[in-house]
Amino acid sequence: MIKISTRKKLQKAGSVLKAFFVIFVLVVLYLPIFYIIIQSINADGTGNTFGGVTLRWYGELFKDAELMDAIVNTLSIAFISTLVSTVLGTLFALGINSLDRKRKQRLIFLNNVPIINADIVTGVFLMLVFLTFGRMIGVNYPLGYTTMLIAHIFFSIPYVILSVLPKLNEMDPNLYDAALDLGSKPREAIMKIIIPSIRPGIITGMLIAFTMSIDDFIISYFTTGGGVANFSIWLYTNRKATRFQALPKAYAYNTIIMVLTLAILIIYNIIKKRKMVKK
Amino acid sequence: MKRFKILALPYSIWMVILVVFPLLIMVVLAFLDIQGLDFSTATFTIDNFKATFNQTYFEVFLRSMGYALITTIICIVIGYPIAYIVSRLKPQLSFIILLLFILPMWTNMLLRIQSLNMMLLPEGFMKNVFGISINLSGTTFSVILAMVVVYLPFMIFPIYTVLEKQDPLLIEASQDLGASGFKTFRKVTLPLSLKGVASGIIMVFLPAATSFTIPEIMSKGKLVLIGTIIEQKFKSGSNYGTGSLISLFLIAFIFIAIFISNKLDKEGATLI
Repeated sequence: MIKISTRKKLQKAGSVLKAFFVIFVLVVLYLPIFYIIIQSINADGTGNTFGGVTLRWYGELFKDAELMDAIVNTLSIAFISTLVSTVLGTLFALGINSLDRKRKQRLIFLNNVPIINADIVTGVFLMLVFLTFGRMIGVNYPLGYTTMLIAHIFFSIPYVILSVLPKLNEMDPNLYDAALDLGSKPREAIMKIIIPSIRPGIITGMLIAFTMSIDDFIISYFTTGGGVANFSIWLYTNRKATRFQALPKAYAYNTIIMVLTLAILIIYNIIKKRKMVKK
Repeated sequence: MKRFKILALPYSIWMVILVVFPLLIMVVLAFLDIQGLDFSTATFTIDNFKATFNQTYFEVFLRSMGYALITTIICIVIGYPIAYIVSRLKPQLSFIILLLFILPMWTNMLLRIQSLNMMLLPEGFMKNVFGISINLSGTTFSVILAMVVVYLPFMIFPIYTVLEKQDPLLIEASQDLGASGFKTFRKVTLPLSLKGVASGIIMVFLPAATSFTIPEIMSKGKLVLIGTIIEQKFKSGSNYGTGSLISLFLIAFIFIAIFISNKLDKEGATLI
């Protein structure tokens, strides 16, 4: 009897210890985020002391033309590249899935290269391709918005493919053929049979693509030029400039994005739960 | 569904143009004395090899490996127990905790690094507001700390993915056969989760070894790692010849990593 109770106590102590450990690590990971949120409402622009609560930076942010340009570039590239890479990635995944085993493996290997590759190498790769092709068509300096967008599409597609492929694998290939036999047009069969069964994979891929794009610094840094920046590049160039209070505005922008993503996430989960309840 | 085969073709072409082609350009550049990308005035040379294989770059290379190795070990030591604990929780709770580990990734990485650096300043916000003076800004510790904070989730997720998929019956069987909790872990759980650990190592080691923003910001420009050199050759300067040769070295290591990852995980399920 005594043995069992000590064992239970030990187990309880163990789970408390485990909880402490997980919470401690989470707190460390969140320290910079707490810092960002506090600094975004700190009236002291240098960030060295706490000068009271203000929403000033949230207003200043929209008055800084250079920063607004960078933010518009970041968001527009994130949306366009996510859309394009989701559509293309899904189509490519359909293609890869119907290849024979050997070719399939070869292409999956190539697909893994941008995912595992160091960002800096991917950045240099793309820069070299853009510069070489630019020279071929007589443009000496092709780097800018378009090249940055192509780069984002390039590094997003592999994530979409990787998320969609397992879902295609699980699918019964006869379903599509059956739909065709029963008189559906190929387009109809794709939209009504294939897409619904791989939808979770498409959504996962889309989310990863968006997260990767909105946060990217290194690859963008190598593939843009001519003064076209995204938020990360703007921050990297201005992080030491205290003159026009770059950092407080960056904290404010980041807090807005954080709150928005959190809100979207919560709404998405509520809708999902409601649907489940209905079913 | 065989008729979709045609859709793989444009992707193959796209990947050859953007992955294989630049690799070839780099091999060519490694043998050229070239200004920018002006091939018309370029001449053949082996000087790039002399410029690359010297003491300084060798030390930079070793240093990068060292920082990445320490970061990876810390990430395994912290990340494995976390993945293990979370994978044994009730599904709903483990979903929430996993989400808590994903959320920081939606905060701009550079800003997180920058903030971490500001928090470690001796005469800054932390001292004036909380009275905590941590004089660690610009130290080796601060660089490693930033690497662990940024890359830890990439260790946790692949390990969690494999642990979560493990059949609980295996553990039950091992216990029924008389193995202790620790023995079960050592003989059943651990070997079956090594795939995830391997993916985690690749996802942490490579970015840590090649990052140039973390050493740049956290060491205040003092620490030079391999990423710093490549950045200098291709972006700040335009010494593409030596830059290519150094990158090719790095790429050789990266391709070994991709091969290993491909062998372990043919579908790439632990990569996302």
